[in-house]
Amino acid sequence: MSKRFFLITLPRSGGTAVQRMLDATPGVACCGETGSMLERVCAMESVVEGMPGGWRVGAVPVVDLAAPEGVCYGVRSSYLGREGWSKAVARWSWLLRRWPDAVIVFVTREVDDGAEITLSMTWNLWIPSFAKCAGRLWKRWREMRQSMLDFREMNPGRVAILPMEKLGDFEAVAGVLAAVGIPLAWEAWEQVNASRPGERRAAVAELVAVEKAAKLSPVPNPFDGDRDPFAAVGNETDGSDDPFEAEDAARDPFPAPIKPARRHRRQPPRPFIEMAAEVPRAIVYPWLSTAAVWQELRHSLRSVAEHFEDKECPIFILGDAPPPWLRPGGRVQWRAIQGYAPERHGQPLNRRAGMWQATVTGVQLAEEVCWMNDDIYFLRATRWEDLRVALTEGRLERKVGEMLASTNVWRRGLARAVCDLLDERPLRPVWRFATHTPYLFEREKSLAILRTYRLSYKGSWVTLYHNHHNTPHEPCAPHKVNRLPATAAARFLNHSNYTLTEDLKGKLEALFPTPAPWEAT
Amino acid sequence: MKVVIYTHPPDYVAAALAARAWRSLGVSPVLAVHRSDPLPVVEGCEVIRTAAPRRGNLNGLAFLREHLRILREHAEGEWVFKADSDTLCFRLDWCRGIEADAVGLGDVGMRAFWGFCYAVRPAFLDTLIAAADKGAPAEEEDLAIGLLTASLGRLHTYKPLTPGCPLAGFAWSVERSAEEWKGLVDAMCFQRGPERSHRAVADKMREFL
Repeated sequence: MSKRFFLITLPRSGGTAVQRMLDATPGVACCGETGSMLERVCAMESVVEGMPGGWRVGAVPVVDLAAPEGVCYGVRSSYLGREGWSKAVARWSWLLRRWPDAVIVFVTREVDDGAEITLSMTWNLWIPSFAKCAGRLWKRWREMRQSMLDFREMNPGRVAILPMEKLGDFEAVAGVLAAVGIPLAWEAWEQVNASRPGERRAAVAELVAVEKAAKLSPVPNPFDGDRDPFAAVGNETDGSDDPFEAEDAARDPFPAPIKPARRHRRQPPRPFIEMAAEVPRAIVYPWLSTAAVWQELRHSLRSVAEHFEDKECPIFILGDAPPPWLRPGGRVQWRAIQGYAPERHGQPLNRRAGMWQATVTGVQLAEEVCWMNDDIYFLRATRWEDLRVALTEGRLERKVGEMLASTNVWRRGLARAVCDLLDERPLRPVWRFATHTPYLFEREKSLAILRTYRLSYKGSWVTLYHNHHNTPHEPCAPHKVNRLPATAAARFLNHSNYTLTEDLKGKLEALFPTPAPWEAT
Repeated sequence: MKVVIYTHPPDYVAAALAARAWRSLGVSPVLAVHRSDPLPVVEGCEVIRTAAPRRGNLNGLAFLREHLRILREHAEGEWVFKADSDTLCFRLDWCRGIEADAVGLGDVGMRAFWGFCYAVRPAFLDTLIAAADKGAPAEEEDLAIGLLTASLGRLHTYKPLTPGCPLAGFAWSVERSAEEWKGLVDAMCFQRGPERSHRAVADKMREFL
């Protein structure tokens, strides 16, 4: 059994879990995060190297980690080795040289979206020095990981790599540790594996605890002033050594810290009434007559009549009043939504309530629903199958902070949906599905969303639905236009109230001149 | 026998891989690290500090003198080797039974002596040190040793790019498996270039181990 070990953990890689597993194992003791302690000891002991008389590193030890007899003692740090390869190899070599009976265990994780997301969500809270690191944090993180792999290559007998991806497999974890003489008890692993420190809600609790501790007893930045290793430090590697350089250049910079007043706290889903589907398939339009500025709905429906292949499925308009030109009893049916209905002074009772009711009702009307809006038009032949690949406009998780602080209620609602998705399925990308194009919803999947999330505003439904269910998707750009004439590849037109100019109205009238069968006048 | 490998931080991993190959042949690696560089710990290697400036690529009289003294200090057995971080040695056949004071890759028409992998007789080092203390015929360490050996002793060189030449540089553009390469040469240099990073070199070396 090894006498000493150093647990050097890549940030957000399960280091807390490994430390607790080891500390709970009989005969093993592993202290929690020691911050910059090892850095400082290394710095103190390195001072003697410059002294005259032939003094060398390690000649006069400043610190001796004396462990009780028979105890395998470990020190954990996620700080030692962050400053690029040269300093990493110097620090880690110092550990092995200074304590010849010690081994090093690196806890790492894959370079993937999950790693980036968790770093971008937490960096400003748990490591003060990273506040100055900003957009280079990702590059530093990857450098540290690569340094770990390289150092192990140099010392395979005294260095072990424990990937986060293996932490859920006791045999794998115990095997890696046993190879360097560190025991691990199954009970200790099981207990920590069940609680998963750092993951999901534990991660949130961890952030809150760190914040509270910082307020109660602020810890001075261990890397003050020009000794901050992350402040404008030159690159350790030239561009040709960094295979991710081009990819990094295309990434957004890390967001500013989220102000506490704008934090989102997840709410439970609202109770709702389950209804049986009336038909196998339907097209649904939520529609508020008082919000119409022209005859958008009429022309949108004409585009459905002309281009949507399914000529039989019913079309439901859910709103406050039927359109005046609608012939009753036909394919297009109007259903009242209480929240949209005029009350007393002719105002909608509650627009948000109306949106909620329309959503709950609309997604349950049929087993499959094509969700439309009066500002969306089909431009060419479309089948149900064509809607199974959803359209996206980039990713959202790194914009949460600014969206939560936005004055736009739509953006804030979308941000809350993103936060809930990250909470429900952590470390996965969140795509922007709210593209103002036709959406396809399946009833059973919709029910799953209603039972899991609380809807905040309009844009959140499609975001929650498609991200939660991992709908296949592709970029929206070639498929949607916002002006006419459209490009050859465009399948849909979408406009806003501002872009619905007289010119566009004329073009829409020319594009869809023929009244649909359900128009009375 | 020992091999002295000069290295610096970007090449520490490659040096560790090279050292692993030398150890498999029973040759003990000595990593020479400049005093301005971080001191690494590399399994199975003795690590020493050097002081003389390397002037970009092991150049200069001061470096040559220090290098020869380091070779003498670590000379054991039949030969003492010098190799680069990016050089893998698969076999020692290239120096076995050679009646010479130094052996390596060289060609009068191209370059007298290449320094990525060569061997020197321990007994000849005093002669080289005495000559270097008086001056050097070239700035580069490998060229200086080759020229000094040729004039003061016996130099055996393999002509590059000839059939049967056991020392070669890895041809990045040639499609050939590692096993095929190892069947053709005894030692190979995976030279870094403008298009090839330190990491690419280490990755390629790993394929051969």
